[in-house]
Amino acid sequence: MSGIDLLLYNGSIYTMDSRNTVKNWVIIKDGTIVETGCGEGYEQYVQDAVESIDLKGRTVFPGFFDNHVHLAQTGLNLMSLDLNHAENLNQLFEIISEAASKTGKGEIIRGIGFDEMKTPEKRMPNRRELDKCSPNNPVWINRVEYHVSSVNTMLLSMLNIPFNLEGILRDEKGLPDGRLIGRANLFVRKYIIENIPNQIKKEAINKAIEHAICKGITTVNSMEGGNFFNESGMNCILENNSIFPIDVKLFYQTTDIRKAIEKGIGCIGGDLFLDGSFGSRTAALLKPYEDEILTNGVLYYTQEEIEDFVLNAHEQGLQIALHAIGEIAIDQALNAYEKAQKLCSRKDCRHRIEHFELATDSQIKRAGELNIIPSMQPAFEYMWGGPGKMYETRLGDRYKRTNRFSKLIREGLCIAGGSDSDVTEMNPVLGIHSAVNHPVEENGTNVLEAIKMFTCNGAFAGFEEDSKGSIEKGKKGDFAILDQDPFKVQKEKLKEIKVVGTIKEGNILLIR
Amino acid sequence: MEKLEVFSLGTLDIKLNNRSINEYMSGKAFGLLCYLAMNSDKVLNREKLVELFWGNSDSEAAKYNLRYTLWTLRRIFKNEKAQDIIINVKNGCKISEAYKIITDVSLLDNLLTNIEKDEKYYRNITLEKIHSIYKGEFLEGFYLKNCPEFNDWVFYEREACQRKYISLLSGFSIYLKQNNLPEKCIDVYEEMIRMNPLQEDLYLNLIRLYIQLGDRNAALTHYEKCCKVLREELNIGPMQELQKVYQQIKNGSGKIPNNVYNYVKKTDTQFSILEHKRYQQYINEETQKKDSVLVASLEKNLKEVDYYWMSELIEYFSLKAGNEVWYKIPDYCLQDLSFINSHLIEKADCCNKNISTHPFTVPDIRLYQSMEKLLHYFTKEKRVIIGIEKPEWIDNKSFQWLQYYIGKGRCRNMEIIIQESSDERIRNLKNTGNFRT
Repeated sequence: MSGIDLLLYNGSIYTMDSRNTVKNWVIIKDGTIVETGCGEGYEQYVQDAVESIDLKGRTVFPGFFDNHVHLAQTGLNLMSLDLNHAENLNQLFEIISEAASKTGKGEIIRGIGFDEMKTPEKRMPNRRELDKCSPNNPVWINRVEYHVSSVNTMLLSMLNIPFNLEGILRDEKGLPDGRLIGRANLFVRKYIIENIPNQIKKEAINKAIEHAICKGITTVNSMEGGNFFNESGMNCILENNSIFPIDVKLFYQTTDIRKAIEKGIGCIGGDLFLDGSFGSRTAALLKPYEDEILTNGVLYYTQEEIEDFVLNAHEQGLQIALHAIGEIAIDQALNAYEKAQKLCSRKDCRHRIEHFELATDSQIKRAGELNIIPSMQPAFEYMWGGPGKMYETRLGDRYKRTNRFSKLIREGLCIAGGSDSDVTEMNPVLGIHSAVNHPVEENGTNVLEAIKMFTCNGAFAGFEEDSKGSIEKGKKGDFAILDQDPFKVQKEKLKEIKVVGTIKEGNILLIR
Repeated sequence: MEKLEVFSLGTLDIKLNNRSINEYMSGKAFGLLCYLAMNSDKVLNREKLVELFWGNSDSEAAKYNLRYTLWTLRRIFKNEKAQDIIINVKNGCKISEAYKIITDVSLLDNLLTNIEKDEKYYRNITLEKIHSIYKGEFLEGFYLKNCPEFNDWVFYEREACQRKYISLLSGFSIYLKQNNLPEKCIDVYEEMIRMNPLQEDLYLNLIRLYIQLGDRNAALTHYEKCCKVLREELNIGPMQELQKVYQQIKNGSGKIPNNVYNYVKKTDTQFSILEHKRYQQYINEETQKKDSVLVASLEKNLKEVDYYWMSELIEYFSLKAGNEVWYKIPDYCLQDLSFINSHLIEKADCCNKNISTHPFTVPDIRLYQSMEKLLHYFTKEKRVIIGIEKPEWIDNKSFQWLQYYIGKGRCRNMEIIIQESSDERIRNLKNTGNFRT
């Protein structure tokens, strides 16, 4: 055989095909897998291959999918000043002063990840304090969950904010004190993001993609646009999509169906927030929060609004994804999908529900009947699940019913795994670890199912099962190479496995 | 008397006896002069000025800096051969009384005072007039480093001016509504929405006005726009009252008064040439009526400039017609006409229409057709009367169009009144036979 671009041999190649076969070598030509095999059969090709990699017994999987990422936000964070480590305001000011001394005159300083609740002062800085550490550069500090901002005087002056906007905090003189919440916070976020030059945005997105590559990812589903994440990041991805080294599939977070079609984006929604999150007590729960009995969370849409939207998008042949975490929001989503399907029957539409964390038994069953794809983030459990952690604080005993992977799989649902980066980092290995080592043991799944979430299930969720998701003849040569075999390590040590190689359509993007 | 004009609403601009002196000034001198001018009725304490502009430096250096900056200001005025601008008094200084100081902020204040005294003063106001004063935020984009006190003063004034502007607009909108001028009122609401697009009650008012005018489409468009903005910016749906109104329009039960359909009187285009006295009388009568748009005549004799009169006509319409009509005019039509009036590029931009901004030429016949089309859309909304007081001032290209237009005589709901003139071209016009005298 001539024209072989790449030969991988001498490894454990888990094909993730329907029979879970394991091979030892694989040949790629023109970006496509042309042959796989066991044992020594590869030897005849060594001569012809442009490049050969001796895997030395290492493990290969199909290139990983991260099915839920905010690429623009992730990139922006990578390009911003990380304030996560500031333990008090003085430390914060030191970090900013240092950054200011290194930043060109007039260039903006963007700080992220600051959590004032971790500091003894328990407050965000005001503009006079920020003026002292950065007199010649505009400064913007966004709280760790993005809902509060602090700006210095220079930036406040540039903003030209309408003073009757809600959320401008004021000092004793009645002047804006530099802290912005609510609508004013959204205003400044929009201003900042829109004013980042396109070149920088592109660089930011490329950085995020580099990170993904380091983690063995060859396909991401990126949720972009909308009220919080901004259009401009999405437009930047749209413009550059053809030159990214890995596949980026866009979900447009809007209810404006016409605009999505005009932009040629076939997937609408993503984090289209039907409700919020457990952390901010905005996920819409059937019963009140454990630590705040006055609230059940928030619904951002009426049933009618969401049904109208889903039906229209469904009729237009789009793939829909809705963000629903609490039972009430999940119900809204299921009702809307059910109604759309009833009024306009469409085969194999693979609509999704993002997060789907607190689904009840009957909801799981209904989702199965409707062929809904739950797109879930196992690492949430690693971060906040189990006894004594945030989910228990907010939900009480209900923490035992979040992210029930095993139950969903038993009911025949195809779970697409993701990170929700930047909420947790893009890291499928951690995702697999978290799905297996669920803090509530009975909700955990086995290694094979966990890996499926980040490989073949991802391909299926994106209508790409014919070209991606498993290592078979005729499919794309996308691979993740790991230093250890996840089927052989102790399950508690899964997360220690390292990605040592990433290959996209036969191109080696990473090899260690 | 010397004249000093300080325009601080929008980008700072200072004029001495009608000449801009911006280029000579440093940032601090600029800020200082602006501050002095805005407080020209007071003696300003030197300590206070030091604190405002050099609050962060030690007191000796700061005092020196103030003296230095005042001196540079004086020098600029001296170089311009104007009288000394700053008078020293004990411990302080002030602007010399030899100067008449005009600031846009005081013009804005005057407007408000006049209105407070008598609401009828709104009669003298147009949105354009307000905009000619309030061109932007107070000292937009102006920031002095290391001057916390001054920057605070800017914030304070900026907010105060913004409030004045908003209260002026909202008072104006109420006046227009009460006096049954819904189309003008719509323009004011749209401006208020532009400033802060998250005000649902304004959308509600706007939609109600469109219903009143019988423009169901515009009402629906604005409802959708409001929903979109609320969803995109705040992830919320519209308030109940707005939803109710929407349901009404959707079901066709939105109260649309009958007389609205009648306010457009359908008549054929009429062309008249009237002698001086009758012409004046006719125009005066029409000025009193509210149901038609009167486009008056040229103010300048620029006969040599091709298409000047047509361009002026377009200008008139863009001032008088509501924004909605621009959405309806086809893109190509705006594109063609932007050849003779570049304001249309902005108009098109406002309406999200994509037209080329590159210079180009359009054959006359196509231009004439597009102009005809433009009038067609305007006259759909309202009766239009074009009065031509000095036809001899019309340039040849525009006159040709007039001939073309009158010759076709197809446009309805409009009238062209020309004052008798010895111009030879008028005599030729008369011969087309479409005239009454």
